[in-house]
Amino acid sequence: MRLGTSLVRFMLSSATPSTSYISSPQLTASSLAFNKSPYVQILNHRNHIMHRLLSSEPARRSGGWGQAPPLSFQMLLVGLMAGAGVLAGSQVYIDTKMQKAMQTTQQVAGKASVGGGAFELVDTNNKPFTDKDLLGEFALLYFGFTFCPDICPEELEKIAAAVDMVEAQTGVKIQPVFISVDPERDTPAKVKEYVKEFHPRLLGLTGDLESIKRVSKLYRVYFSKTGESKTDYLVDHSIIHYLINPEGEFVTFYAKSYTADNLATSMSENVRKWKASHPDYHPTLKLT
Amino acid sequence: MSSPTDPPSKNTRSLCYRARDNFYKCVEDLGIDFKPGSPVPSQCKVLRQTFENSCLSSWVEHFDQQREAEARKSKFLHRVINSKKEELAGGLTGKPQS
Repeated sequence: MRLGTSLVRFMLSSATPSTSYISSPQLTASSLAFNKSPYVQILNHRNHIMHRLLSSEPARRSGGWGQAPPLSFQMLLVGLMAGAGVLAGSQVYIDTKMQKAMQTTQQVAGKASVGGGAFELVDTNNKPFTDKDLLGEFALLYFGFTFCPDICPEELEKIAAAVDMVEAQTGVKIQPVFISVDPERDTPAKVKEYVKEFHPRLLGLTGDLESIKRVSKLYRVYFSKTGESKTDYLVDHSIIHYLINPEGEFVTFYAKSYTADNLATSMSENVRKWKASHPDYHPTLKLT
Repeated sequence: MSSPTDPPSKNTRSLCYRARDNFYKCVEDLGIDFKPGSPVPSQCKVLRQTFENSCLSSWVEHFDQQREAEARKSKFLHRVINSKKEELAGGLTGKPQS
């Protein structure tokens, strides 16, 4: 306590301007009445109070001041420090709670709500292709159809460019995948011709209506035939790209508004993060 | 274009897009708002035919609808901008304000 009070006293005294510091013209003009100037009187009063607060003598009545305040300066200081401690403690508590909540939502989003499930489709060589065949590398999924007028070609060209950029930036080859939501017209042979015009590594998957429905449900993809014609119709569908990590879990999705550059930046970022936490992933690769 | 069994290749798509753009430019130059189903102005009839031959019917319909929606949007925006302009102009010319 002694140390505390002397420390406080020291702080207060250094905070008190000495009278020699005052060089204001108004004050020096009335130098004769200087000692009785309001400024000095206030200073004296303040020093008096501080002395009273800091001294351990019991309160004494003196003209006009009444009784000493019940709260001593030490108590105030201790109170403030305790208050600060409580605030800091509660902030830390809130932060950890929030972090935990966010982690849980991320885990749920990654595992339960989108993707991360089994699907069985057919590749362009008519061989079965399942979700397990994508494991080991990042994959970018896009749902569309070959008779698509403008959007699918645009999006697939974007994917092709983005995937090449990621390879240039990180050395890692992301697997682009096109899944047809038009099982009536899109046979493996047709999809083969279609995808090879966009990128040599673009994988094309098809399936019967049930399999397509199942995989669409997994990724919350909407699709619906438009028009009455049996042969010449369009398929309305959600325009979204889904990024899957090497363990087959959904990572994030990209809307149509993403440019090839944005896509590449985000995917490269995900590749780096994965490499940082998975030393077995492309062990010889040096990522910046 | 009658519906082929093979999906349009990249080349076919480019030809379709070009024919589409040529036709739309024609009607735009005439200041006409071409709506699906409306009569084709005589100057653009040939271009319309090329357009319809180069693209699948479902595509022609799709592009026409898209075009109409875009025209509606831009007209709406113009209206909004012009009305805002008038509001502001009123304030600047010292008209009595309520």
